[in-house]
Amino acid sequence: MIEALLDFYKEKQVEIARDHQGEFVLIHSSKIIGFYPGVREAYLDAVEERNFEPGHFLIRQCVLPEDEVPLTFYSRLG
Amino acid sequence: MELSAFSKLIKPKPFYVLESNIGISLPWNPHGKGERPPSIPAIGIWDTGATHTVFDRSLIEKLGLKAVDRTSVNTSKGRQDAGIYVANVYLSGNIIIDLIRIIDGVVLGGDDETGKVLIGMDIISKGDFFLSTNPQGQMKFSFRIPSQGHDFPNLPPVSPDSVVQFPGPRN
Repeated sequence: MIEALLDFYKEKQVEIARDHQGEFVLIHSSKIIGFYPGVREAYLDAVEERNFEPGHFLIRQCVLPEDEVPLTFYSRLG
Repeated sequence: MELSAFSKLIKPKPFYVLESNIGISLPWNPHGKGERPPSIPAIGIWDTGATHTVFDRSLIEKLGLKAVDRTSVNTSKGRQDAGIYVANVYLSGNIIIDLIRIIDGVVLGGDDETGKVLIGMDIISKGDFFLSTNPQGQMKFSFRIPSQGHDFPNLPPVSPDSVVQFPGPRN
């Protein structure tokens, strides 16, 4: 499920990130539902307002492909 | 937001690890109408070297969390894929960190059966984190939220770094 939503995001990534850099996008059923200032707002809209089932939507921060950086853990994560 | 805080003494066993008992649960909005889900106990390891909070994979499975995204993470063992989730973390002092992004991973250290959580800078930076060691070798760490500013009682003000410089190896 999440892979299909990620594929959809990647198709639109440049267009989305150009207009909404740094915001969080909510995607469900191959549709962009909205843009939010944080994960919290996106999650509440998905679950409390729209009754989306957890595991059936994507919340991702909008950044251009060249600006994507991996998260970093200097210790204790194997 | 009301001030909440806690302090804990840490002894080396044999090394200092900043651990505290915490609870974790499925995401829950304390200001919403939904019923509070049950929490499960975990060991929180306060880790300033972690940019984000990590739940050990066993805890992700135990809670039944569903991913909202995927990402790449750099660890000491190289780059790997990880899931991103949303969950709640409950700290001492009735501190609730709600609806925070969680990464899954294999949290190293410890041999007990309680799952481990790396409490990363995303939580630490929400408040004030204070660490000191007395002459008896007891380390005390405190956390308070929301931030009350840079000044802690009985601490000197911030001053420029004065790092002792060691000479290089002798020839």
